[in-house]
Formats: sequence, C-alpha cells, structure tokens
Amino acid sequence: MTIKSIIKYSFLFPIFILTISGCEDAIDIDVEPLTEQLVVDAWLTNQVGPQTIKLSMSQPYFDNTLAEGLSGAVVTVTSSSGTVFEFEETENGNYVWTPIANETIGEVGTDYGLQIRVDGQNYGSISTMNRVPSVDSITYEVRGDETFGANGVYAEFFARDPLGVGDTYWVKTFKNGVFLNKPDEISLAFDAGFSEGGQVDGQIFITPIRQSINRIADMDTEDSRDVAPWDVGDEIRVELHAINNDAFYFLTSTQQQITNGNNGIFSEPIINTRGNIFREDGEQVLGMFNVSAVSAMAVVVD
Amino acid sequence: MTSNLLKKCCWLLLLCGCTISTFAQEKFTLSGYLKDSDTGETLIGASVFIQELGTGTTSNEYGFYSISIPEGTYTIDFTYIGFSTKTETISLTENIKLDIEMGENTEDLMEVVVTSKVEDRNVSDLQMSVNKLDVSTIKKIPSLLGEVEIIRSLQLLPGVSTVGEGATGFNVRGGSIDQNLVLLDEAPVYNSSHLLGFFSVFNPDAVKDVQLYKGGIPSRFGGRLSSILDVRMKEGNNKKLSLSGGIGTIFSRLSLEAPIIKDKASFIVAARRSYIDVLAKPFLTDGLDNSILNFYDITVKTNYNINDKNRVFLSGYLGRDNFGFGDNAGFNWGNKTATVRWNHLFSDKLFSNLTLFYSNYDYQINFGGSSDNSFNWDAKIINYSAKPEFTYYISPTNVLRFGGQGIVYEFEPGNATGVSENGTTDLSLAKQYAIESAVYVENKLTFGKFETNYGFRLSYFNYTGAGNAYEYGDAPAGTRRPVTNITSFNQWESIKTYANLEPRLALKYQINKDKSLKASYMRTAQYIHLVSNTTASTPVDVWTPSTNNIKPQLADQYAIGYFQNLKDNAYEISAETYYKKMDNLLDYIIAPSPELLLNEFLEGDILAGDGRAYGLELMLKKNKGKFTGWLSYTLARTELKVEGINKDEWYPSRFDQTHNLSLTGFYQASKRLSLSANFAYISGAPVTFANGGYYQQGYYIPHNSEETRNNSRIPAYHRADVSATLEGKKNEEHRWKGRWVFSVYNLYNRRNAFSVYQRQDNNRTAIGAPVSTSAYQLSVIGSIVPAIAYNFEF
Repeated sequence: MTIKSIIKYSFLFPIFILTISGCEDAIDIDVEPLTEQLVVDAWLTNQVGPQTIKLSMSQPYFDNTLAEGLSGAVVTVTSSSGTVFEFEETENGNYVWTPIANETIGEVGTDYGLQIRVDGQNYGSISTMNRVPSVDSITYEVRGDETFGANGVYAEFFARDPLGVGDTYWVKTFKNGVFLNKPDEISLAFDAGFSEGGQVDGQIFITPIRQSINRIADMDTEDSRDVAPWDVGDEIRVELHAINNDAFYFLTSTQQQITNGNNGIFSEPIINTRGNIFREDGEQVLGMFNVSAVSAMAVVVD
Repeated sequence: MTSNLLKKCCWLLLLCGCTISTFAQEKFTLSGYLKDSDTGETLIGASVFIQELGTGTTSNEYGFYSISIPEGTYTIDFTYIGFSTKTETISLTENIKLDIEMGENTEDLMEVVVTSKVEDRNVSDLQMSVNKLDVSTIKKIPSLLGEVEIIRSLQLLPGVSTVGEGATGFNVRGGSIDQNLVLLDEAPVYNSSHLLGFFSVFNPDAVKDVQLYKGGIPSRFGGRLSSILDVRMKEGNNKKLSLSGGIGTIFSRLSLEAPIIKDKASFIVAARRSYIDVLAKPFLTDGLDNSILNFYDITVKTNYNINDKNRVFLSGYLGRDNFGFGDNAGFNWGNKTATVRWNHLFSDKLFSNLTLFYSNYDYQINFGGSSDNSFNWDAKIINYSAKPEFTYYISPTNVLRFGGQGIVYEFEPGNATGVSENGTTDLSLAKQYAIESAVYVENKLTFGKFETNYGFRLSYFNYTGAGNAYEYGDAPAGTRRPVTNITSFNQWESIKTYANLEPRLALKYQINKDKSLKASYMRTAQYIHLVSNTTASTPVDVWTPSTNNIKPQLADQYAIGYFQNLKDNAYEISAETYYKKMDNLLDYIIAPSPELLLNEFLEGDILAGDGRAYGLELMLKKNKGKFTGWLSYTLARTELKVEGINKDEWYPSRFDQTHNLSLTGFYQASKRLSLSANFAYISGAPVTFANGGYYQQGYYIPHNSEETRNNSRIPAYHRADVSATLEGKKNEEHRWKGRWVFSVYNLYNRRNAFSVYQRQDNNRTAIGAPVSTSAYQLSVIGSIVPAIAYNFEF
C-alpha cells in the first residue's frame, strides 16, 4: 500500500458512509477515435530461463481482449560487453531468447540495447542492469485485530537498500507460485522508501513496503476481505527486481492510471504513461524495456 | 521595478491628497452607529439618506456611518431591508453624534409596500459583481438534510459553482477553490468545508452578513485571484439573553448570546456537532464498530464598547472533522482562527480599525496504534497578521480608504514518521516561511450621474528561510525537472521576493432612477497556492508559498454590467459580462505522474499555465409579494493553456460549465407556512477519457493516443428540491419561537453524475486472461433525501 493508497483508503471510508444512498452505475461512453501505436513489452531479468519480448499494437480501450501479436519483426538485445541475444518469434507476437543450460542475460552493471525492426522501421531503447540487495528474511504472524481485513496470517519481508541514492525496485510476490497481479498490489520502492527525496537511503525498507507483500482482497469474489492473505501451507515467494528509474516511474504511473477510476471524486486527470522506446526519428512508442537483476526468497507458512 | 512601483504609489497618494483639499469646506459631520433595537447588533450596509440633498451614505462593516454636509436642517431616512424605516429631523449646527436603533419590521412583509432607498441597491450601488444573500433568505432555501447552508446557497447565484455535490469549496468565475479568500471576521479560513464539502464551516446562527465579491474587488482586499467571501459574525445580543438552536437529521446546533454589560458589552457562543457516526453505527461491522465520524465547530465572539470612540471585538472559531477507523487509524482536520479588532474614531470623519488575526489549518493522519508500528502524518499552514485600515469620510461624495496588511506565514508541508520495530523513519519536509505585505488606497467619488471607486494595492511577497532553495534544470515540456542546486538560507533571510501593483477600478453611470451601467477592472495577485490535482480538492491538499520556482498567480479581470429595477423595485434585473486573464496558474507534470505529497522536490513537478475565463451572468429577482425568488443563469467558458499538456493548445478547465441555471422560489402561503423550491441545471463538467489501452506484464494501461486533456463531458446535472417551513403558533406571552422545516432534496430522484470514469474489474484477473474494462458513473447523492429539522429561538 503506497502513501497515496493509504490516503485514498482514508477518504473512501467517509465517502462510503456518506453515499450509502450514492451509487456507481455502468454506462456507455463515447471516446475519441484511436490512432494505433506499436507496443513493446520487454521486461527482462537475469533469472534462469527463457526471456520474452512481446510486440503488439494498442487497442481500443473497451476491447476486453488480449492484444493481437505483431509478427515479422527482428528483435535483438545487445549488451555493453558485446554479447548479442537473438529473440526468435514463437507465436502471437512473442519473441523469445532461450538460454543454453544455465546461461543468463548478464551481470549487474551491464548496459543493454534493444533493437527492433518491423514494417520497415527501426525502434530502440537502452537499459542498465542495476544492483539488487538480497531478501534477508520473510516473516509472518497471526493478526487478531485487523481493521480493514480478515484476521489471520500476514507476512513481511526484510531487505536493506544499499548506500547511494537512486536505487529503484519492484517487489513482486507469488502465492503458491502464482504472481499477485492486481494493479493495487504493484509495490515499488525508491531507495528504502516510496519516492525520490524520501531521505531513507541505505536503510531497511520502510514498514509499508515490507508489508506490501500481502495480497489485496477482491470486493465481491470468494477471495474477499473475510479471507486472510496467507494460510498455513502457503508458499510465500518474494522477488526483488532492481529496475531502472524510468521503469519505476513507468510502473508508478501504470498503477496510478489503472486505479484512478477507483478514487471517485478524488480521481486525477488521466495522463499517458511514458515508456522508454523510440522510433529512430525520435517518436516515442508505447511500452518499456527494462533489464533487472533479481533476488528472491521463499518460505512456507507453517 | 520595485522603486518604479513605489513612485507610482506616491503619485497616486498625492492625487488622493489633492482631492481631499479640493473638497475641504466648512461643513459639519453627522456620524454614529446603526443598530438593531432588538439585539443591539450593528447593521452593515444600512442606508442613511438626506432628503433635502438627495444624497447619503451607508454604514460600514462595523455599522458606523459618517456624513459631512453644510449647516442646515435636514430630514434623514435610515433604512435597512427587513427593518422599519426611521426618519429623523436634525438641525445641524455643529458636529453631531447620532446612534440610531432600528426595529425589525414586525408587520407582515407581504402586506407592506416599503419604498425605501435601500431597495434599489441593485441599481444604485457602485459595486458590481457582488453576490449578497441575507441570512434570512439563506434560511429559507431548501437544502440537503434541511441544514441551512451558506456556501451552497451562494452557488445558486450567477458565477458561483462547484465541481460537484460533496466537493470542498466553491469556484468563482472559473477560478479554482484556492483562489477564493474566505474571511471569517477578517481571518482567512483555509478549508471552508465540513464533511468534505457537504456543509460549510459557517454556523448560520452566528453569521450576520455574507458578501461575495466576484469582480471589481476594492483594493482593501487582496491576496487571492478570483473572489473574496467576507463573512461577518454577529456581535451577540447586548440587550437580553437569547438562545437559539436546531435539531436536524445530521447535526444539532445551539447558540447563546447575552449582554455582559447592557448596551456596552455582549458575547455569542455558537456550537454544532454532527452525529453521523451514531447514525452510521448499524452499518459498521467487522472492527469498524469503533469508528468515529463526526465534525463540530464552535464560534465565539465578544465585544466591548469602551466609549464613543473605541470599541474592541474578540472572535474565534474552532472546527474539526474527525474520522476514525476502529482503534488504530484516524484522520482529522480543521481550522482555528482568532481575531482581535479595535475600532477607533480619530474624529467624526476618520474611522479606523486595527485587526490582528491568527489562522491555522491542519490535518493529521495516524495509522497503527502500537508503539512499535505506527505511521503519523500531519501538515499545517499558520499565519499571523496585522491589518490597520482607515476610512476618511470627506464628504457625502468623497470617501477615502487606506491601510495596509502584513502577514507572516508558516507552512508545514508534511511531518511524517513511521515507527516499526526497526526504528523510526522520518519522511518529514522542512518548514517554509514567507511574509506578505500590502498597502492600499481607494477613493470613492461621486460626480453627477457618475460614481467611482478607484485605487490600487501594492503587494509585496518575501519567501524566506530558514530553508533550502532549490534550483531546477530544464526538462522536456510537461515532464519532471531535475534538481541542479540546493542552497541553504537562514531564518528570515530572503530567498525570493515579488512585488505587484494591483490597480482597481469601479465605475457606475446612473442612467436614471431605475437603471444604471457599471464597469470594473481589477488586477489581483496571489502568493500562496493550494497544490491539488484531483477532481474535488481533498483535505490533505497542501498549501505552498510562491518560491524561486513557483511564481505568484496573476489575474486581470474586466467586467461590465447593466442593472435595472422594475415596478418600484419589485423586480431586479442584472446582466454582467466578464473577461478574466490569468497567468502562472498551477498545473502538474504529465510524465512521470506527479508526486504532490511529501515530496521535497515538489517544485519540479509543478507547471505554470495561462488561463482565460469569460462569461455572461444574468439574474432576474422578484423581491415583493407573496411569491419571491430569482432566476440565475451563467453562460461561461474557462480554459487553460499549459506547455506540455493537450499538445500546448487551449483546453477547458475542470471548472468549465457552459450553462449554469438556477431557479429559486419562495411562497408565503400563510402567516405560519412558507414554501420554497429550487431547481438547478448545470452542463456536464469536462473529463479526460482514454481511447486506447495496451498490455505490459499483464497490466492493461489506459492510453489516450490523441494526447488531449478534458476531451469529453460528463452528463448534465439537474436537480430540484422543495421545503416547507412551519412557524410555531405565535404566543406573545412566551418568548419561545419554534419552527419546523420539512425538506426534500433531489425531489425527482435523479442520479446525477459527479464523475464518469473508465475502470478495470476490481477483482483479480487470472494470469494471462484479458482485463475487463467498463465505464462508470459515480453519483454522490443517488436518491431522494427527505429530512426534518426543528429550530428554535428563545
């Protein structure tokens, strides 16, 4: 839960009370015609296993389908140490680099360049694999007096941001191997805190970040607020991805823009999330290229 | 620049001085205070009219009047709306002090045809662009939950709007909410709303006078771009003890006023408290049953009439909204103000007032009650001010006002600490300091059919240490600017200063008894800004001073108007049109998403934009007869232009409402029963929709391929309300007067959209499955709201 969402939660409560008679209705709206743009989904890690880059075109907002892949592209990633990684097209716009044995994409401190050639145009981007601290521990406890959620098992992870301002992270949590993928669950850190200028460089991650690995309940499914985030026997896996500052702001914006509609009367104007992928003439296209070093730890609740 | 300004000021002062000497002749002065004979309350804006000369004056904010005229015998009418006119014959052979006590019109208003000078104020008053509602009128307007509401009532008049039901504050002629200077007995109130925006902080039982200046603001007021809401509290009954109050659906009120020394000193204490938490209790379960949800406010005022020449007032306000969730989370905010005022008469012609005030707005958020797990966050804006003002009543046709103001600001943009078993994390931001000062002169002159009030205000702002000054480098338009240098400053050491000369002009041409033309111009400067990027402002929005990076907001507004009364002032018509140009309006970066809270480098996320607003405001009002009321219509446009947003083109601001129509009617059915109704129609507010979307790592990101801002509109808003007020049976032997108010808000049960937004399914999407998206409309009041309230006076 970020500061923003804490605040929003605080507001939603009085609003909820005030609007016992108020309501939300689904309606149809007209939007401006869409100009389709290239989308590049290129989040690579130094983890073992194949790495995938997906190419597609943007789609009408209310499409409610998965994006159709863009085929026929040539996709390569080049490292500053001179290695070229060829991404081969598999299916539906997926371009995959498959390592041989335990080979990974590289080491911390390496710069990477992305090159894409599609429909006669060249696109590119660069990213640096940044340092990542280890996940030192994952603890859990049984809570009996939760205000907003169910009583039960809640977890927390510990890691220390290394000295030096400007490290940015994406904390990804997996419950029994399944990624907790709600937009509200996107957990980001700038040094050990929420954002730049937080004066928390080189410290253990602040409490709300440490506790951000607990899943956020659904409103109206069986995965509701009556169910605690974890149960005995669950595997909690926490991955700490060192991401570029660009990617940090990209994900901050992504979360903000996706969840903006939940803020009711306190919503902010919609803005476009800016990535780091450019056509050779300087025109920006959609999406992000980021290469992360990852540290991870898993525990089983007993 | 500054010395140039000073030269101009000196020149203007000289000019005023010349005017004084021109008019200095052998005359005598009639002066005194106008009061309500029943309560001793002074009357603001009551008329003093000399029949023989066909001229007169009005009482000021403290009920004082002064008029200097040649020796002679005069018949003088003292009039005030709702009061019986008092006529005195005076033989003026020396300076005379004459305090007048006027009685409320006890006869039924509907049967009496009063022909008083004061009734043609719409036409005769020099000031245009003013919205004034009598508290007695406000009390009759149908309202949400039957609660008398001052700010929501003002929204029924032209040029005043809100972004939606429940939104904090109000918008004047396309301005944002922080561009309104809300004054409670001269002290600024930084958040004028309770319960987000459903109720205002003003307790109607303690309010005496409400005046909203939308344009042509006299130079004695300054510091905000768009408007001045001048709320004056009652002094307290200095004749006898009186008690009034009310029991409503959502809160109860009680006020007590009494003399301390009869006719010399009195006080008023008024308090309100809501009991929503009590009502909401049945809906709260699962650890929320300890929830707190209430607000209260206390208004106190006392005054002492030392002698003929000196009077002092002390007033204070304390209000708080509290939200608590279970035992370990809380959120509260509120204003505190204190004012000391001293009225002093240097002579019968020279009235002065010295105001000293303190104002404080703060909020606090707490999470986690235990000693090893908590998060505490608070922020404040505090200011101290001294404001001497002088009014020199040279002649009935020449009044000179001058004075100054100094304000010391202390900003605490955020103190936040998180405590955990691993220690304390401090996310606090440094305090900021600033001093704002101003001097002003205004001169009101009448010559023939023309009347003018011209003047200027010279304002000066000094952003000082202790603190750091940040310098920022360049960045592409609309994106975050990087910090390039940080310099530390000592306490009160100047970091950046700004000076602005603000000319003000009001002009009236009286075509004939029933018609007038008015025009005005004003330049206004605003040095402190509310940092807010949401549709409705939130209580945690933080005020920031102008700094070396944030420039003061400036506006120039021109307005002209035509005013006419018909059928012996039974009908009032007014038509005004205005054009307002604004500079350095605050907007926020679009990449990455702006961080407005607890961000040391906030200035790098703020953009400066241009604004323009123009409109036509029409009003038709019926003042007499069994049926009274008004029709108000505003046709307006408000646009912004900010580099990096909307492809650098003009776009409608979120306050842009093309049509805003309201119809308010009162019907006096019998001596005891009065009925009222109102209807409002407002064009849909602008909104930005995404037309596209794309996937990244399974997340579906909304995208607007055209890069436009406010490219669509939400559906139009319309609503009708009715209410009936039944006065208790009159009983001369009992002082107790009861009054029942029955009201129905949102009569035809319309679900008006507060906002329309695009949203993804709140539930978890299976990995690899498409995300489900829809558009929704949020209605804050989604049903008909009936209410009963009981009010009493004793």
